[in-house]
Parts: sequence; structure tokens; C-alpha cells
Amino acid sequence: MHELSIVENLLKVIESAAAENGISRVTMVNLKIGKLRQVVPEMFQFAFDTAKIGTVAESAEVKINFVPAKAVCRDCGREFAVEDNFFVCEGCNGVDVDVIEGKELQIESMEGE
Amino acid sequence: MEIKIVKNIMEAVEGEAQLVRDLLKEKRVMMVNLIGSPGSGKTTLLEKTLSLLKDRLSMGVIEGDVATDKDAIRLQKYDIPIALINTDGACHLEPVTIRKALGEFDLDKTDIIFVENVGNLVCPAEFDIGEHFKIAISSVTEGHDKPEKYPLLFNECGLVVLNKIDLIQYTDFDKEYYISSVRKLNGKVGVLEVSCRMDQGLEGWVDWLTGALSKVKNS
Repeated sequence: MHELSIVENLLKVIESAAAENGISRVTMVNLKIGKLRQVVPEMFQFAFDTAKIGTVAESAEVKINFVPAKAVCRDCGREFAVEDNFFVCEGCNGVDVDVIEGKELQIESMEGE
Repeated sequence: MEIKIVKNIMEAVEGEAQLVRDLLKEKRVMMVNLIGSPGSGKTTLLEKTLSLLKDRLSMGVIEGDVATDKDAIRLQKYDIPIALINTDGACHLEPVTIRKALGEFDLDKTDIIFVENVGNLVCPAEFDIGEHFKIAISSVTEGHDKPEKYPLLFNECGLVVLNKIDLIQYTDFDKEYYISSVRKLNGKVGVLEVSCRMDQGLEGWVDWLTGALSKVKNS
């Protein structure tokens, strides 16, 4: 259940961002999470709702924007969407590819007062 | 009030992993992270590795287990330094505990640190602990669908070790299917077929390790 570790790290980032911006109550957190991160939304929600208690984000809602996987081929330079975990270039069938999107674990914005 | 803060959630974890990487680079130590299901043969592979290489290389082991020191005790007879991390329920190791554990070794006199991660194919793949390579260990008794079901590990690993190959005749394991699903996830990765119990294919593993070590030492 890596969701809980991710949530614990998230709450630290929220706490420090809230302090920097003079926010005492966070109401909304917007996240960007790559599909390759194997984050299960229900598990994440449960971990967040449990771990947020007693923090500045106690009454916060969390919204996750999942980012599909994308890779670039080192042989022909083509960028392609990785579907069904198929990390092979759709242009030249090359297998020397770098993942460029889909591994994000990012906080994008938050709302509070 | 809405504030835009584009920030990496795992910043603190990645910072710790970078400190581990810096330390390993300074000391010219290679660290490999062994990841596999419970019962895939991680500890047995380590036992065989230690006995095959102990006269040639100086090695240490970080043992990650949810509970007990059973694996650490199994490795004691090889007379190498072992740091045990009991995660008390956590399903993976994190770089902050790895960095602490590295303090227990004389890194100036160490060639390779093996990290035996908690038996799990999901979470350990998720956490960068500052290692040079993740090694995916799976076994024919687990079935040939594991790469597809746990894509992140097979996508990120530097080598796949397919263990218990001596038992393949007693299972319906489809080796071609397994290898082609690994290739779809990671076209560059090697797949080594071994049987740790029967000492089969281990020379390929030793060659891989020594080759990787010389690259790390010369980098």
C-alpha cells in the first residue's frame, strides 16, 4: 500500500505550502498522477481521508488528474502514447525508449483560506 | 484563495535517494535492489551469490522484512556484514532507512551492497532507494502473467531473473509468453533463466553482476 506513503509525503508538502501562503485551512488539493504509478484511486482516497485528520488539510477534498503514459523513441525520435503497457515504438518498432509522461506525482494547486 | 504550487510530492524521498546515490558514488560501491514476490527466491539467490563471489568481492546485505530476522539469520553463515531493517508492516523500503543502514558498513572496503526488499511486486518498484539497478526476481511457479500484472517493476528493472526453471515441466508456465511480455515493457532488459536450488544458470548472474560492477567502478 504505497498510497499511504505517497499521502504522507503529500501532506508534508501541503503543510509547508500552506504555511508559506498563510493558509490555515486547506479546502481543495489538485494532483497530477501518472498512470504508471500504480496508484489505486480508492486506496489513495482512503489513505488521504485517514492521514489528513489533525492536519491543515483536515477538511480538504482531493482531486486527481491521471496522466496517460507517453514515451519517446531513441532510435527515430517519435513520441507515442503507451497503451496497455506496450513500450515499443509505433513508428520503427524500436525498444530503446524513454518514458516522458506517466510517472508524475505532483501537486498542481490547492485552495484554502 | 487558490494557489498554484507545482511541486513534486515525492521531493523529500527523492532528495534522500539522491543522498544515497552520492554516497555510493563517492565510495564506488554498487547497490542492487532485489525485488520479487514472497517465495520467489530472493534470499536463496543471495545465498548462492554470496557463496560464489565471497572470495572475489567484498559484499554486504541490507535485509528488509516486515517482521523477523529469519532471512538475516539464513545469511549469517556467509560471514558478511548484514543490516536488518524491520519495516513493521510497511510494504517497501524507503531511502531514508537505506541511508541509515549504509552507515553500518565499511563502504571503503565494500564492492556491492545487495538490498533484499520486502517481498512485494508493487510498492518496492515505486520507491527509488538510490540503487544502481532494480532486479526483478520471479519464478515459474508464480505464473507467466506477472510482467503484465506488475508492469512498473519490469519496466524499470535492469535485469529479470526467472528462478525455479528446473520446475517448469511441472507447471503450465509459458516461457515465450513471459519473455515477450517482458520485452513489451522493457525491450532492452536481459532475462536470465536460473534455478538457485539446482545451481543452474548462476554463471550468467555472476557475469552480469561483475560486468555491472566494473561499469559502476569506472564511471
